[in-house]
Amino acid sequence: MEQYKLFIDGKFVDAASGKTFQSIDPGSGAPIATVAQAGKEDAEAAIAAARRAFDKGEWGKMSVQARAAKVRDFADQVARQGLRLAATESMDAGQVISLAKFMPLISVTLLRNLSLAAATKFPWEEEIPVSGNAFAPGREYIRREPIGVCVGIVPWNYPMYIAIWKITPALCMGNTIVLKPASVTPLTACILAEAAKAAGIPDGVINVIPGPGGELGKVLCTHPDVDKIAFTGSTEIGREIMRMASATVKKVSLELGGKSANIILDDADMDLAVEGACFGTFFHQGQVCSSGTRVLVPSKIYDQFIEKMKKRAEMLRVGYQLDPTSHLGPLVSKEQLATVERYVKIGKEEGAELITGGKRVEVPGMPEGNYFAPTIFANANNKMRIAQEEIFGPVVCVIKYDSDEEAVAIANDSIYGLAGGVFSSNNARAQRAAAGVRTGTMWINNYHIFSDFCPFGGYKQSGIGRDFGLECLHEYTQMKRIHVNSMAHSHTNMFFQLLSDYKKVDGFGYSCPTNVVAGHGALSSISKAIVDLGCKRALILTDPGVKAAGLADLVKNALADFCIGVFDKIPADPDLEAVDAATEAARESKADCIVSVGGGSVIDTAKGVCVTLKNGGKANDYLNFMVLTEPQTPHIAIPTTSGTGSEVTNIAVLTSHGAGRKLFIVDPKIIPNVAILDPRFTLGLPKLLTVTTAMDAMTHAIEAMTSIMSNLICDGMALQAIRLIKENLLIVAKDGNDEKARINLQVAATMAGWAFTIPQVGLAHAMAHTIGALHHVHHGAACGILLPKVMRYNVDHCADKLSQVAQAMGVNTAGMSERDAALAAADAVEALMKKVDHPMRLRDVGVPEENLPICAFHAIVDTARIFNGRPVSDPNEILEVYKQAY
Amino acid sequence: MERTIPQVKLESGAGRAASQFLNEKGINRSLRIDLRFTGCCDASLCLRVDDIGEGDLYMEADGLTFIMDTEVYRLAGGVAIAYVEEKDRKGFLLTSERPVSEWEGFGVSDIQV
Ligand SMILES: NC(=O)c1ccc[n+]([C@@H]2O[C@H](COP(=O)([O-])OP(=O)(O)OC[C@H]3O[C@@H](n4cnc5c(N)ncnc54)[C@H](O)[C@@H]3O)[C@@H](O)[C@H]2O)c1
Ligand SMILES: [Fe+2]
Repeated sequence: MEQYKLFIDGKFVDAASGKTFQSIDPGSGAPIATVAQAGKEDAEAAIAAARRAFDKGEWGKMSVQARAAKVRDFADQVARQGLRLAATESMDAGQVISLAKFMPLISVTLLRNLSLAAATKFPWEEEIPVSGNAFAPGREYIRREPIGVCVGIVPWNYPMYIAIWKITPALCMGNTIVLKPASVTPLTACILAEAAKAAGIPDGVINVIPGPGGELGKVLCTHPDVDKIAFTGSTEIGREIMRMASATVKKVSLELGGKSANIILDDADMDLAVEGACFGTFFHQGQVCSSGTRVLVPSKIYDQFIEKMKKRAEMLRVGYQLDPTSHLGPLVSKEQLATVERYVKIGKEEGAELITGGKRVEVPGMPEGNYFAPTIFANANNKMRIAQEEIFGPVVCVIKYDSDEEAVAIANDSIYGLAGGVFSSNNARAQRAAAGVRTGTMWINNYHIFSDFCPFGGYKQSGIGRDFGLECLHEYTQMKRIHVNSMAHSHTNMFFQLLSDYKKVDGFGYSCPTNVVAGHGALSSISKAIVDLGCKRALILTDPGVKAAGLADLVKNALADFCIGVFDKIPADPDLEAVDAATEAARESKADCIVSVGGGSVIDTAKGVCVTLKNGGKANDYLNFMVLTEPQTPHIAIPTTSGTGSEVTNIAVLTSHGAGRKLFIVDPKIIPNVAILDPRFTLGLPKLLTVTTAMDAMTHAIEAMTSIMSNLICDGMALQAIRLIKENLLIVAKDGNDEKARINLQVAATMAGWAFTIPQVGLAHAMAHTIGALHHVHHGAACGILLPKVMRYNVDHCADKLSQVAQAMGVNTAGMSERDAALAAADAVEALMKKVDHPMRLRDVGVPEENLPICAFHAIVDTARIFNGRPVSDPNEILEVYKQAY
Repeated sequence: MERTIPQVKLESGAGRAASQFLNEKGINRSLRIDLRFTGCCDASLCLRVDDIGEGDLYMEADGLTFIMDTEVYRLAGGVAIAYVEEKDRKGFLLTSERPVSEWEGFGVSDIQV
């Protein structure tokens, strides 16, 4: 008789206790080999060897390609042992030889396919192009690494193949493994150990320890040096393994029981369905976890189906497993035989109708073999134990149903969800049924098909995790996220600063890529701009006021044939619905380019349209920070106010009725491609709008400078913008037709836009957004009224910047302290506003005084508040500023 | 013919736990020591509320009646029933003279109703 030993740390050894056990041929009842029986001490030695091989050995550290080559060497050794493996598997596990002969072949393909996939397709490293955290820029990537020491516990139905399911991914992903075969079928795992040795798999990477599950299981599942357990077996044991593993929080994958439904639809090809039902349940004596042991058959074909299935089952030949003419071999053990017999008895007691089988089969010359006849219970009901509990023998219940929905409901009425089938001549109908069943695998017009790249595993109590495919490779790795900070300095880290009194962010990145064309007649550049953008179909977006002023027509004529339409239904302070309506128009007209003609409201809407047009869906999908990865639909902006700077900024301000406030898309990808600043577009802007929008631009410039993210480039832009507004606003307020002053204000607004794109704005904007949303105060007017008060509030945190503002405003600061100069800046802003008749108080623009406290509470959660140079955390302070402005 | 009385040993606390379970549920029936299968390989023994039927063996202990199918008794032999009550593990643990699987004694289970 053959003798097999344990395989630990690359050596074939006896058990520490010296114990051995016999493995029995279930077809003859004769012992065929003696096997060393591992105990606790051997399990510990195997774990220690695997741990050493993982921590100190080269296996986990070698290149994926080198490891894949080693796995292929192992596959070659398995192939060399093919005949011995097939014959041994058949003898030991009772697999008919016509099935067992495939095992070495499919094991080799799994080893080869998954090792190549691990080396070429598996995402060992993966970049995360958009981190989703706009405040901590940096490279983000995922690195996948081996888990460590894996334990594979395999059952007796496919001893060799399921061992390969566990060994292959463990090895390919750089882990080491301790394999415990089932005690009734230990032999092929021992031969695999020989193959590993011959292939030169390093010592300790694979260890094989046959022995009793009850004893070894406790060690394997609780040992602190084990990192992962992969178990295929019963739900009762799986549950216990999970519990044991929880003490040291091991990763666990479990492939457990099943009671799968094989749904025959009424339009199925009858012969195919009968064949599928028989194969699904009698294949390998029914000892397959995916067996379709509940065959669901429609009432109207039930009798016919039963008759054919009975006939087919009775044609199956039960015989010794090495006899090539046998269709079914023996059950694996006398315990399994007794279990099957017990369930047949239960089925009869429950009232199911036994129409064939139900008894042992005597195979000539094999009185001790565990043979059982293919067994069919008709008129079974799904509540019966034989329909709810897995039997793991050649026993099937055939259950009647009346509609597809009822069939799916019956299929789902189970604690398990491993596999299942649908037979139908209508794939669409079959796929609908398949989608409804809560199970890990569904076969349509087929059964028991396993494929190397197709994941297999369970829903519900059938398990967790997946075997096969890239999915199983993931199961054998850990995932590590690595963040590489783009700004490696403590003063650039907004999060570290939560523990610091230094609140400024020092480093910065600057990218504001809009092409600006400015000057009288700049509009003429538009057709060349369209061509440069590679576009042909431009849709003009505008609002009724701008259209009435004749400005949209001006653009239409300049575009000539490139213009495919004008959409003018954009409201002031646009909401998400306004974007969706404009997007719809753009979709209908097949626009490939958006030309926005208007103030901030129109340009912001157009930004939303460009994103929604490019990516599909609705504007609400995209209210987010820095998540776009590609260029959006091309956008040419022609501002008709000199205020928001939206023609060059990365922000779109949109009202969300769901959130009850203005929210933002902030993303460099929404910056317009081209901005055309032509004074003809602002000449007719009414005086009040002229001054209020200019104060919006002024607020952008000053808040950019006092932002915690202010920077030297943007400061330069801001100072020039302030100077231009100071020098030109007065002129324009007196004479709106002064073209030179108009263009200067346009440039000022654009530069102020550039100034705040990186640093963002501050408290004045947070407060202005609030009264804009709650009391419909024009954005620029609200900004202007609040700006000087906020400047004074910020004075002790931003005196240096504000004193520069004072100089840009023309204040002679010579001899002044920095603080006094800063305060003088606020006075100068107020003086300018008075001169141009800008509203000076909140009461002038219709804000009720009693609402100020609620405004303060809204303003404190506005995003802009985060960037204010003076930290603001107390709504009472905001209320105080509102009161000063009242 | 003499009646076979199955060997059923109740470890300390097991009888009380079983009676308590039945009382709480208001059940006044026997407990079957049954062979069951919970999926992919390896049957196990469990306790199930049931009535005596044809071909069943029975015995009484601690005021409870235990029944066993003749075939199941022939396979497993005498059965010891323990009750485990640990922090995160509670239930009946059945072991038999001739283990029905290599995992016997590993997992605990509730009484099946
Ligand atoms: N994206 C950004 O960078 C940014 C910055 C600040 C503000 N905003 C947003 O921009 C919006 C405010 O934009 P706005 O101040 O430019 O005003 P607006 O676009 O809302 O226009 C206000 C009114 O002025 C009319 N109008 C505009 N130009 C005209 C012209 N040349 N002649 C006659 N009438 C004209 C419009 O028809 C409209 O009725 C707000 O929603 C605000 O939240 C955006
Ligand atoms: Fe603004």
